Amino acid sequence: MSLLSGHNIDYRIEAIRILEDIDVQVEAGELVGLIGPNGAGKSSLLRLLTGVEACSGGEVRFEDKPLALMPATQRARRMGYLVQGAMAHWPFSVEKVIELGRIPYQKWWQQSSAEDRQKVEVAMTKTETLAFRNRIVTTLSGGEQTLVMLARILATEPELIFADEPVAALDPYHQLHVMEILRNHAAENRAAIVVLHDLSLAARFCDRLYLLNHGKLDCSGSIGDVLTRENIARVYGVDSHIECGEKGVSVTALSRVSEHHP
Amino acid sequence: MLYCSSAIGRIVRDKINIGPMKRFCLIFTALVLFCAPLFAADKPRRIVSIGLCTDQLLLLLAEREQIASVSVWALNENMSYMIDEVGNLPLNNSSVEEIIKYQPDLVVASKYAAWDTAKFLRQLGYQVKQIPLARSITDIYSLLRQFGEWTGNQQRAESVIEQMQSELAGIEQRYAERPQKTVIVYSPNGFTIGANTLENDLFTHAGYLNLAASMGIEGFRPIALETLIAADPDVLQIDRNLSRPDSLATAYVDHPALDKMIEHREYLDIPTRLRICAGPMITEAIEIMARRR
Amino acid sequence: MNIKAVEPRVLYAILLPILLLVFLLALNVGPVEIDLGKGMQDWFSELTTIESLILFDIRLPRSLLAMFIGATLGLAGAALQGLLRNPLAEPGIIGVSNGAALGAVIVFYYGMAGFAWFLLPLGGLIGALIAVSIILMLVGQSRSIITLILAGIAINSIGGALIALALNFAQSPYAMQEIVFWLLGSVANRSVNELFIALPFMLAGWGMILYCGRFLNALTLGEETAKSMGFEVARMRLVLVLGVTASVGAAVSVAGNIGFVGLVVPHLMRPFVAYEPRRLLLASAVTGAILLLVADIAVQLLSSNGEMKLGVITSLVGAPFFLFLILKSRNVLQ
Repeated sequence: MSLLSGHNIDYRIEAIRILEDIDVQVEAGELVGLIGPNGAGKSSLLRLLTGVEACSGGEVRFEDKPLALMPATQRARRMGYLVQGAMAHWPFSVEKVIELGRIPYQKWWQQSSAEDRQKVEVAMTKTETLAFRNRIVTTLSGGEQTLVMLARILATEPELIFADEPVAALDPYHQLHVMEILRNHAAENRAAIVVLHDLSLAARFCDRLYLLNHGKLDCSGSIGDVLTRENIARVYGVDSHIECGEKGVSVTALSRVSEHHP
Repeated sequence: MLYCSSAIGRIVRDKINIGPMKRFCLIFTALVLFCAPLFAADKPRRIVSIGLCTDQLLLLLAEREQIASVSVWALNENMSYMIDEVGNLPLNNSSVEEIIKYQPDLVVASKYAAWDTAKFLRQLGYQVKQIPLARSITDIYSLLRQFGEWTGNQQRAESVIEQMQSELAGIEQRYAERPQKTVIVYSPNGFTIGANTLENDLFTHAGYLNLAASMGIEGFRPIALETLIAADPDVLQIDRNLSRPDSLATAYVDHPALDKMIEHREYLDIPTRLRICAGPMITEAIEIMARRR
Repeated sequence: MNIKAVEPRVLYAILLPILLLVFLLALNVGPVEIDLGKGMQDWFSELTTIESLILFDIRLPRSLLAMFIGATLGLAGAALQGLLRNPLAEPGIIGVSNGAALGAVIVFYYGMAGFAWFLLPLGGLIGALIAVSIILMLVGQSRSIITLILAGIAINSIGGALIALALNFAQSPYAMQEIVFWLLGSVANRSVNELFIALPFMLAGWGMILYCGRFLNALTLGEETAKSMGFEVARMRLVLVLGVTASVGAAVSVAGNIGFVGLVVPHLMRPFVAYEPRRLLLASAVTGAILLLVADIAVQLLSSNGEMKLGVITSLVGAPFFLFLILKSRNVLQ
């Protein structure tokens, strides 16, 4: 039984069809990547899988039960969603931001318990943010902020983590750091789904990939199955060079394909 | 006039055979007797009143044929003492256009209300007379006299004054043995009435001591509720004509603290129409006040 | 930069005694000098004397009202700022208070208030609700402070004009001049009656607002994240808005539009609660109560016959503060 699965997902906003007939599966222990060109519908698909948005057609199932029927509090505890460009609106301290991750476990009149604070410590350790726990989150660099947001999710101890382009504006150090955290999280018999633009990172960290194009599922499967020169040329419109070595897989875009229309 | 005299002259010449000097005297006397009523008619014939208090005076002192119009306030149940005398007299809203329509030979108003209408009418050339604010009963007497003069009803004014004086003497006698009581007035917006006002004079004549005047308050001034309560009057006079406050101003007199005060004090409610204007009705007000002592 | 946040225990250990002190001071202020001790004694012995009357029927309701209204305005300001994630949001600026005043004016001057005790504050609630709905519609998803202020100006202007219109056509000859009360606010001459009709709505509103505390914290990370944390954003927003409109509606319906409290108070307290929207709620309530009591004391000391309106003081302090806030955040405003 898959941890999370989506069947015949359709998504429409007014008359515009964003997603058409998508099937997705995520097993425990996996880090799944959603890739595709701009406007392919990756973020929308991710939002449908978190349950934050409802499908127009088809359904999403969590442990083979409809996600729509899952109580909101349970959903909040078992799934963590890192939105694109996540930032704090008020100048909280780092520790305070991470503490927000414990909200799904607190009643409206409750304060943070000792257990809550302990989980926050663990999350800070995992993301190596202990050093700046008292700093104001809005004064941190982009990479540091993403780590803090990730720590917030880890404090909730979810089974599934959804991340929407978490490394888009980060330097290489933080890019690798974030992907490692997601990788480690999946390895503990949980799972993570990530939307990525960087194909090399996707190739290096993900177990399986889903390639989307114009709202449809172009292909899916292992890295080798999806990241082929033909697939990339067809979907992205670029001629690429793929190198597989013991240090990992890297994909380099070489030139644009002339007949491609995005 | 000339037509009169020439006509009479011809008649006398033709019909009566008397000497020229005697003829002249006869004509002259006849003229005077005949035309006297025309001379003596100085009385205004189309009087318009544009305020409540001049309405009262007009309805009281003038002959009905003299009145062209009274203000709409004359029909106000709470405020108009002479309401039954209005009948089907035309009413006006104190606006200049309406008043011109009546072509009045005299317009009467108060000095302290509708004064811009009065000023405008004067500019247009109409005869406008304004009554001052009465601050005592003596003022009322001179007011009545003055009004009698303007409308040509001096005798009527004198008789009203006489009646008032005898009534007041009577009241004083009847209630002489009763003790003096202290009083304070509380009206919408928290206003009280102090010294140098007609109301104050009424209180004095009715055997009351107005604590607001004792405190040094002159005229119409606001008074804090706390100050009122601290003054601890025997009697509280409140204008409570409304069963439900329809504005914050009237809600002032609805404060629960006043209810508690009244439980332990007396509550004197003189109908507004008896005390708001200068006129003989104030003796009725004084009677009510004195009786309640 | 570290924020000088204060532990809740310490914060309230300071604020609550200040509140008590200011409250007792307010009871001591008035046109007449009275012995508070005697007043209390008389009241407990069930004697109606001058002291007990002044203390319990005049000063106590007035000060209690000032306290509850101050708390309401502070709380509502903090709530709106948390919801709109905008430090310039407050019931007065965005037109909620004027909307409430309009609702109350229509109920009061057209004879509807007497039929049931709750009709007046309900009128305030409905007026406030309409104003807030229009604001939310105009602002939409925009995070821009400018948009919010402009929308607030529009609602405030329309509200003010409609209030004047309603007063113009009212039966009572006093109505028109009372516009000063509705636009500036006052707790003078308010009795236990006013306190009793406003209190239930205010307390209900407070409950609804405090219930949304965690939601406001989650909202710091954005609506999508808040949704993923298990909050039904639309429902929580509705509860919060209802809480604000009920409490502010009731407050304005008995005391008119007292401005700027909801702006100044949360801004003052934010650093002390480490910018946490949830903690800010209660802190703003207590501080709002303190500030409005102080303002009412000032009003009584400055004008011997109580003609000055409370809103004059709050505006004299609040408006320059508002200006200062705008200037300070000129760079941050987008």
